[in-house]
Amino acid sequence: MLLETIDLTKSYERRGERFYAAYNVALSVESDDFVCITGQSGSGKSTLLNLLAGLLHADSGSILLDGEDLCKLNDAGLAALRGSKIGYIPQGNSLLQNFSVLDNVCLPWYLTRKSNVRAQARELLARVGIAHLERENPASLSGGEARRVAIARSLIANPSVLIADEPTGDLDPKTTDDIIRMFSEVHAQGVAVVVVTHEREIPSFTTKHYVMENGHLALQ
Amino acid sequence: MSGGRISTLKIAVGNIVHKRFRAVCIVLLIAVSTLLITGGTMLGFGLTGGVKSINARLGADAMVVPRSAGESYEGALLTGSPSTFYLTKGTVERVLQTEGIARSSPQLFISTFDSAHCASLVQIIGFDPKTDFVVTPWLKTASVTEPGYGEIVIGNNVQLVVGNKMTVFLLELEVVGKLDKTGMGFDNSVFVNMDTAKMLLTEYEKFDGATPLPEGATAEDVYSAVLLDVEKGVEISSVQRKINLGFRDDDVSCVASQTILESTAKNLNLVIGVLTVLLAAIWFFAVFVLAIIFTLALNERQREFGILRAIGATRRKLTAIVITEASLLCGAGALAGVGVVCLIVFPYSTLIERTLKTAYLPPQSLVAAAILVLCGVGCAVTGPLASLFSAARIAKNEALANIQEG
Ligand SMILES: Nc1ncnc2c1ncn2[C@@H]1O[C@H](COP(=O)(O)OP(=O)(O)O)[C@@H](O)[C@H]1O
Ligand SMILES: [Mg+2]
Repeated sequence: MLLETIDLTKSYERRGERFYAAYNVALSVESDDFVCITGQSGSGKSTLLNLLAGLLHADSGSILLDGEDLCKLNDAGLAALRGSKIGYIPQGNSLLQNFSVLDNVCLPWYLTRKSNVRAQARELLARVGIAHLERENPASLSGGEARRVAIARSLIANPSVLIADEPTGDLDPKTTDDIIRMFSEVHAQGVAVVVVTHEREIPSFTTKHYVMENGHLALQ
Repeated sequence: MSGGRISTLKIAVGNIVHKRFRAVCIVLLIAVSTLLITGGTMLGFGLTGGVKSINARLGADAMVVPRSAGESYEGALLTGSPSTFYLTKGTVERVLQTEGIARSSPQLFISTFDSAHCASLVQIIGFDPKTDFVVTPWLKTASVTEPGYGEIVIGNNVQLVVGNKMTVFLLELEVVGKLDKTGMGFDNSVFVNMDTAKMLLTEYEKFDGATPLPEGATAEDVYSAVLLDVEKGVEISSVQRKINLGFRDDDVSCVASQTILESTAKNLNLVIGVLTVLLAAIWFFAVFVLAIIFTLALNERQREFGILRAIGATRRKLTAIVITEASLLCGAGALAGVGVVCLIVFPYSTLIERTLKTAYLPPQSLVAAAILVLCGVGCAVTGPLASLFSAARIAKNEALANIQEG
């Protein structure tokens, strides 16, 4: 098992009332899985992914990545994981506007390491089909192009699992197809993928489909 | 870009360049604060230096001047403002009979300020080398020879050099020496021996028609002031009282140097106090405003920081980025402020002295450099200090994980 959650629970408080954005969630991802998670807006999908990436602290339960419990790691340990084993693509346009496309791709590497990584970054940009845009500022990119940069960025440290939050959320059908194909290529290279997406966009090669509803996760 | 530390710097610089307007505002704020704080500190040191200089320069215990001179003797002393007042020799001789006087030396003042026949506007001070015990020591410390007849020694602010000629009442007087800076009126004065002074006063009368001398008196009959030292063991104030009471019906007043010094020092202490409070307030204000700016910026940058965290930045890294940004901006501001101080305060220090109307002796270059460095650093640290608030918030804020768009 690559990634597994056991009774993972996260609650928030709103107007004095506690509610569960994730409740006793059990998710399991093998290293060759392509996992899709669907669910209505507000059902807790992003909360779950943030927990998986160690960005949020769970109330209870555990997250095992390669047998290591993320809930027991400190901030630096979690950050190191996000810069290595986990490739994370946040919801929406997540490129940093202050940096060129190429620098955006390099950034996760530079945040934790000292060696140069430009050659690999260029290779990744070529793989997602936008090598010619490396010097551009992210503000000048289209939605699909920006998503490709984010995918390249998430792969710079050779992660074992790629976690993407609605990567096709605001894209037109044609671009959505392109991006999904890109995920399938990543998957084919041996990276496990966990992606939050829409019901109608679930690709045929999906190995597991979970549905989230009011913080409860169920395997379809 | 490569390496952990370099990425911090690069991210910080990227953020600064991206938010240019905010960056310029912060740099300006700190530059102005630095300018005020450094300039104010320089001013404080200059004023203190001035009073110290008075202390060192008031070589006589007391000074006898005409009572009608009012406070203008103080002006002559501190700012070199024009003073033309005269005592008759007869009066002076009687005053000097007073018990307790150890030594005395007369001086004669001539002002060229209101004459069309002089090349520059200066206060001329004639001293008597035979009896003088005040000016002569200054000449010695400045390694200046005593001026002979028709020769002058100039104060530090007079824009001439040794060997130049100065035209006074159409006479050409040769500059034979220049005194060190005192921060007092002496910097704007010209020193001559008593014979030259009398000759100049005679010339003055020729040109000016209306004589400034007492009725019937000639240049030979007058002095402007007499400097006194009292005998050992005699109180200055008792001699002062004897003269002021004994010559009540004459136009005579005895002023103790200490009085001049004390009133100036008292004013100075007040000014320094106010200045210190003001400068501290400016500093705290800068920190306060910066803290607000950085905190607001932090709110606006939640998503940016959230993304950085999502791709592997530790909270510590984010903190380092915030502090680096603040340090860069405030460092630049402080540097700019110190630069402007150098551009303004040094070239115009003479103007500042004149405007202040009090003793002002700017700090020596080494002290000035120390002030610049310390004030610069003091202002530069406002940035990191103010950013600590936001840094603390980054450290404990879980919402940074909240990287929903918007
Ligand atoms: N920091 C937070 N504080 C309070 N409530 C939150 C917070 N983050 C998310 N929520 C709430 O938790 C629920 C799940 O949110 P989210 O995981 O973003 O849902 P989804 O991604 O499925 O749309 C929503 O009702 C949302 O408003
Ligand atoms: Mg979401």
